Amino acid sequence: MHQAPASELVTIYGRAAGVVFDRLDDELLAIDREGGWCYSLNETAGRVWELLERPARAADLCAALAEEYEVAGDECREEVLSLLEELREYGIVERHGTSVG
Amino acid sequence: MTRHFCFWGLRIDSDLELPELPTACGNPPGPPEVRIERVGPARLREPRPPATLGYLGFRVPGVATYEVIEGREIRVGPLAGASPGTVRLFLLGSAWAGLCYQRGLYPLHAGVSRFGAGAVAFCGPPGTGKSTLAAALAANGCQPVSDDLCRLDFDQEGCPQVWPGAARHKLHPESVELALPFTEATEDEAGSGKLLLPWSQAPPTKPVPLAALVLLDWHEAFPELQRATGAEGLRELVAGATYRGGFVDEMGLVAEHWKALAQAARRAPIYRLLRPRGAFYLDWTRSLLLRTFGGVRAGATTPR
Repeated sequence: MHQAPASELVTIYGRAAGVVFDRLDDELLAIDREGGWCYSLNETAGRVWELLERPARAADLCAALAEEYEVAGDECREEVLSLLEELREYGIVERHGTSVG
Repeated sequence: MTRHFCFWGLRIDSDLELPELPTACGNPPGPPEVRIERVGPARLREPRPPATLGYLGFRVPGVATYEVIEGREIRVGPLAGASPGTVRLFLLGSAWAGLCYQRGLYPLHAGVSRFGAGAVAFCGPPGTGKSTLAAALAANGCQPVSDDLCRLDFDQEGCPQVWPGAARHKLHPESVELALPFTEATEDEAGSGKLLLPWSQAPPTKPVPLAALVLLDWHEAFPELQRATGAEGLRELVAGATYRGGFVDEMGLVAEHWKALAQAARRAPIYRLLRPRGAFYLDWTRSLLLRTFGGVRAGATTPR
């Protein structure tokens, strides 16, 4: 089974500074401050955003989501790390370094 | 001579005559919120700095240079030979919109009609029929609130409301001929080729709660009203209802602007009104809108 690299799990993620969020019609919207785009986040992405009220380690996000969605740890880690990177590519979250604490 | 006007809830003192705006009744108390000053070239900045919340400057070739300062002053420097109507067109359009953005108000590019206690705003790019629809609805008893541009803001409870615009329809001659019962059409001095028709009903005297936002667009079939929700609806609303979006970008107001329109759309749902290009089906469209919005209570969530 694929194991997420330890370095990815200690990466700290936070909400991107250039994005504002709002809700409309049960959708969580991510709006670029420069007006370049507006995305709708699905339920899981929206939950990740809520958990990122303060920057958090990927490992802690994985643990919280695995418990909430009752998913096996390995499977959840892979999906959450993939989601975080996808959100990072879209400019919705940012990496804030790493922490082994 | 200084003229006094009251528009969008703002008291205005102006060096220029502004026949499009209602005059202030009596002597308004206190200083004006907005001063419109006619100035010579020596008073205007050259080169003009980039737009900010404190300063917006632009020149319309052959017409005038305009400066908008801190949401409370517009300086107009007409160029030789410019027609007063054309000078006012950009003064009460672009310059006024810039002033509103500086004041934290939202100029909504929409024709607005009243349905019961609430207003429905029809938004869309030029040529999609905002003014014609508002005029057609007026002929059917819906009180007009705005022809093309109105002030959107929020009451103390955060509910969106729109302020009445200039009390006249501005229509292409072919739209006037759509059996609208208006007779007092005059040519637009600004040279737009449109005709100006005074409203046959008195405008609202205060802001009207916004009940729905309707985006005008085309499709190949009979007119149809659809809900537009979430990010997709908001994107279409921003594209269709933002007046002089370049100012929003330059003044760094993009996020505030999107959030304000999202706030409006939470109380006033977004719809698309689709109709075939070049065909209005006015009776059908009027009846569709009256069926949908005739009983809408402003500020309430309507069915999707």
